[in-house]
Amino acid sequence: MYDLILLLVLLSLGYFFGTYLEKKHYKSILKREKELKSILLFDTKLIPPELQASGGQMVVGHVVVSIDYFKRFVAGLRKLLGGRLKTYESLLDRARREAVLRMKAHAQESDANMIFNIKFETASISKGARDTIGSVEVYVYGSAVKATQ
Amino acid sequence: MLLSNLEILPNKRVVKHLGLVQGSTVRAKHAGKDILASFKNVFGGELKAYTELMQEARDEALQRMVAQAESTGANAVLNIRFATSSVAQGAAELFAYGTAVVLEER
Amino acid sequence: MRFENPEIEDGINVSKEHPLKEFSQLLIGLLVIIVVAVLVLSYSVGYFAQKIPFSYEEKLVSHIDALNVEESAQQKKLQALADRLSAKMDLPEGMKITVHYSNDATVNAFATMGGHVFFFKGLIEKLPSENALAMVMAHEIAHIKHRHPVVAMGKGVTMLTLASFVTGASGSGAGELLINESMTLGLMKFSRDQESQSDLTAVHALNAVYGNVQGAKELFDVFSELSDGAKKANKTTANEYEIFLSHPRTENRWEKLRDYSQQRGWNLKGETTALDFRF
Repeated sequence: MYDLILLLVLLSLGYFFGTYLEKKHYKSILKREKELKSILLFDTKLIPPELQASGGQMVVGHVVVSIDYFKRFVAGLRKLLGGRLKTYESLLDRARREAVLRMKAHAQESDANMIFNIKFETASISKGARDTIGSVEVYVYGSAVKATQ
Repeated sequence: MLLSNLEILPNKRVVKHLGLVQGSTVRAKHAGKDILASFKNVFGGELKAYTELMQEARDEALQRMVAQAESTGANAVLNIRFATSSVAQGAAELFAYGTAVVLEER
Repeated sequence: MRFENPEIEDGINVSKEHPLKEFSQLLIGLLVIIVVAVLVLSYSVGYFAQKIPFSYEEKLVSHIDALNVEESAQQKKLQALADRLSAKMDLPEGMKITVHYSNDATVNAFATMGGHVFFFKGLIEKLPSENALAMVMAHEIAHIKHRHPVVAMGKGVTMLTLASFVTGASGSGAGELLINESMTLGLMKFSRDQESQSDLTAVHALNAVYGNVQGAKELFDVFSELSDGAKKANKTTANEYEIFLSHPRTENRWEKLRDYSQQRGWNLKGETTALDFRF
């Protein structure tokens, strides 16, 4: 009985705070994406020769985010039946976009306007109870150049 | 020391290749930070302590790679890549590698 | 060539479905699946467990020290009563009832694997007559006759296996919650069905031996008193009266037996034999 109450408390805490934090995070992501729009992203290794480019210093961005209890619980149920773990999608989406934004911010500091050869690394760093993914790290890196079109 | 994950840099020319340089570090989870993180696991959201921890670890791996490059007399490391592997439960290896070169303005 | 990064439409990589919708769908769907699995498994295991020969069951528990009979005057009297009743109970061939007596104050009696029945002093002290004691005894013998201990064990093992499978597959508290709830539902129903079945078999034996079913009435009167007393004293019945935990409600049990006996024209009342157990 107490287990059930504790579970309900954790679930609702996870649901309300998780939803609130996620909304807040997306708002800030969208805002910063607009601000940093002028920095162009490429995952090609070669800088097109027609660009007048200079620089090439590596810039990185990364973040560790955790999923909330509610979404992890739903994913636990989903794993019994199989199928898409929808509740994990937003976790990874947020992490990737946040990491890219941090990389862009670094590039902006060094006055660059393009980032080339972008690569992503994703690692599950802390496993939750009984081997479920608790949180993921997303690491993104590339080389920042200043170029005129 | 110029670090880049490009192979060819604009306005620069590789005059000397000095071979593969690498840096790695193995980190375990921090018990105190882990307790905080377990609270965060209920609410969701960014685990700042872990972000810092991982950043420190990657910086350390990069610094070791740079130290190797410096010892070869290079002034840049090109085509850098990162790799992460979990060595044991609660421990991760962070690995950075690239090519040490001597660059010259073109 | 122009290079630009136009804005990408938001939310392509994220499902639009509300997580609460997915949550409720999954919870209800899985609960139904697991309850059905628990029921199907427990009925089929129950069916097959009854086919296990009694001699296997005896062999399985033969090495357990606690099942060695400690002889005493009380034990001998109880054993004699058991033999009298089981002679009228049409037990399958080779089935032997062994009675154990414990000086403990616990108000309980139970039957277990291998035909062993345990009586506690605490219960016997509360009983007004030999007939009431015979009703308890016949009820426990009926459990053995219907192979309830081995069926219960089979079901227990199956449920544990199912539980660990579900918990392992879901990898979280989610599965555990589901399986616990449905197992409790399934096993409680099962236990009540067993008790009702044993009550009916017991009342048959009681009528055959004493020519009336007064003992059953007296037994359930004692049970009612005990549970009322416990309710009044507002204490948990868990330890002292553990006999109530897995059993149906006392009033309902007696009403059912009374109707059953009346249909067969048995005497509800009659002479009772005094209990010559004064310890």
